Amino acid sequence: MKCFGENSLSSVVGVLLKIAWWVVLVGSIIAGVVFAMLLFSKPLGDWIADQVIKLNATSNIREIYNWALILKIIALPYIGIVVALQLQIIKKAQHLFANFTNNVVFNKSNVQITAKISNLLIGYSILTVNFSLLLVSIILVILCVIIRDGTKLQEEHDLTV
Amino acid sequence: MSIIFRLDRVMADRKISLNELAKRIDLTDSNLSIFKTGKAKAVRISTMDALCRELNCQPGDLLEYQPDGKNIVE
Repeated sequence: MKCFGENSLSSVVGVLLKIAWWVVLVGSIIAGVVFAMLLFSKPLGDWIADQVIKLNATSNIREIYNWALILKIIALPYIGIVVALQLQIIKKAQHLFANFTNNVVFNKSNVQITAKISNLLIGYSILTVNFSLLLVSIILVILCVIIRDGTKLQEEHDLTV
Repeated sequence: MSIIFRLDRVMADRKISLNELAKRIDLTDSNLSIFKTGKAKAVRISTMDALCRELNCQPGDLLEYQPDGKNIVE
């Protein structure tokens, strides 16, 4: 299977990313509302906790009630930032793969998109304390330099007569 | 860079159009235009050879070095 152009691996990944973006958006809204209820509404929180315990008896979801107020207040914005980063990363990746689908590989906009994705991924991996993701983002920074150099070579090739 | 592209002048001297020259040296019009307008970053020896052959000139007639100037087209 070819990597770039129509009906390629890039176009398939592009479609998957579009679906992923909506799944993350809807999932995070639902999860956010449920989590807020658990944190701040005792009756609704109890009902949700009961449902979760029915599904998974070993769940220790009720421990959330024992969290300090400051932790409860910080938790929601933290989740909001993490979800926003996820959505941004997916959106940027969508743009990148759309360019790949259009056979635009070594291009200045791809360099910028890759740089933005790597920066966002570094932030995301630090926030979620995920070191394997940090490694991926460092590889992406290197890939960004490779695409930048490739763009220069492509430009030189295009302007060679 | 301070290279002046003199293709325009040589073409005018030989009374040859860009399309005609492009056909003769087997180059696309757009590529020859890149050379003519001084946007080229590199020139193949084979292109230079074909240009000199068709225009009956020396490479120095097509390119000229001028200190502290930008890529200039004449």
